[in-house]
Amino acid sequence: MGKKLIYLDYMATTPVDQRVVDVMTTCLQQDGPYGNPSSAHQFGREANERIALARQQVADLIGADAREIFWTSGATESINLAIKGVAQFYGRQGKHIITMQTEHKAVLATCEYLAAQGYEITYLSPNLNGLLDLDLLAKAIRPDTILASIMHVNNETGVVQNIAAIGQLLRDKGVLFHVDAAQSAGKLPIDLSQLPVDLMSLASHKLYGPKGVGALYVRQRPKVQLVPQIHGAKQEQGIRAGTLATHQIVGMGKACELARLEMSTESLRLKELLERLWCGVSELGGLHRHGAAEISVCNCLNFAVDGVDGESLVYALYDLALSTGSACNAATTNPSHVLLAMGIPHEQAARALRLSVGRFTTESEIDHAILRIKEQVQRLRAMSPL
Amino acid sequence: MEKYSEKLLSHFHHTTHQGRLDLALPQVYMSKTGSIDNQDVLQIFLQINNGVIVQARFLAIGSVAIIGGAQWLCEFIEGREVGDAKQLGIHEILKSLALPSVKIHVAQLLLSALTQCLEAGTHA
Repeated sequence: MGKKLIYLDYMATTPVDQRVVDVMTTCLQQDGPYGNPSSAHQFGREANERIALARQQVADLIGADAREIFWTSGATESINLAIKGVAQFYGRQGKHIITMQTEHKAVLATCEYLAAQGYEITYLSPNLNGLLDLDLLAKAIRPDTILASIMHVNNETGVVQNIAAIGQLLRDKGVLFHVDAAQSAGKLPIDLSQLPVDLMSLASHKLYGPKGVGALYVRQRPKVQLVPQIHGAKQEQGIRAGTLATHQIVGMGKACELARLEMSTESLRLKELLERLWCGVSELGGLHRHGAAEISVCNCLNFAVDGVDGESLVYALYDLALSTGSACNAATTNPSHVLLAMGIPHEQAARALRLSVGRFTTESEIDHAILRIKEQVQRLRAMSPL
Repeated sequence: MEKYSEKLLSHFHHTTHQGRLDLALPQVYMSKTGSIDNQDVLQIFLQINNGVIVQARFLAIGSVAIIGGAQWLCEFIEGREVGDAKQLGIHEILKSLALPSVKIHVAQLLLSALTQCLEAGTHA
């Protein structure tokens, strides 16, 4: 058994690409652009130029205009700014928001907060395959609906929503559309010059950039208005106060540039690795895949193994970094809210594992992971009294 | 995910006492506790000769705590007299395994399985 830890949790976060580290490091040197980007002097202008380039790099990844990109501390802040910012600005027009039960906690918790402030939230169920039924969405829209927030790629199953169709339906009804694209940016082509999306949240650390920085896309034509959530000076057109972190932003920009340039070849490679993994472990029998390959992103595999507890399997596979996709508490395991919303039985959902591959995953790592998973599933099954 | 002690994890990874004993043999007793609805199911097999536990084996499905705990329990009681084994209490199990507080019920399951099996042996 090799001692090297194999990282199969790229949906949780990604290592920072060395090329990103290199450009970030230049910003941290004494001869680098360390000035406050808001300062008018040369030091500030240098930093501002680097930030402008990064803004363009992010915009290019998603087919946006650089003026539509606003820096945040990450996707959670972007989501908070988008949903609360819209809710507060358009609150006089209506207080109804639509989202899905399978959203990330950043969306669900933000909606819960707004519900406590008097907003009404509709949580739509997905189909059994994890996709949103457009008829269900159409029926949920009311005259007082101001916003819908639907994620592009689910962080647990990798299921990809049809944001073009969802956006068109919402646009036709005059409802603003926020998309959490933390898991799709850099993995799927996104062209906001064509897509009917009004706001999009992005995270740097999901695409080989640094943690602690993200971005919110805010459509300018027609202009979407937001109430700021962080107050201070007038950075970011007054939408998000705070001195910009040049090195973080430059890192995110570079990461977006690399993702854009390498996406087409990389997504094919990752898809092949993932299917190699699935085919290999499927030989065990008694596996249930959550999120079919044909509707899922290229790098995420979520499945349950009959006759094995998910937590025990993760610990048994101590040399593989993977995720159970469930949160344990007290005496019982709480299965993923995403899987339960998809109608997956509680007991099966509690055994779910999430494996995700990425830029630095190799074929030999996948083959080793297959061997280890088969070995440990067989071991744990052999000791089951059932 | 719970954080488990190194000792518990070592028992979980090295399950030398996993398996079953043939119930058709004399002086082999079995007990089963827990339910799959509550994540953990444990089955214990003891062979008791002349008041001494000569073999202990387990089967388990569930958390790291139940599998590692069952391995520890079997190691602990094997070779002991039944009277000694009956002295094992919940606090000793908790202390020996350094179970996280949310897994205290696992210690209770281990103790219940042992008690039931020893009772079966006593009344055979």
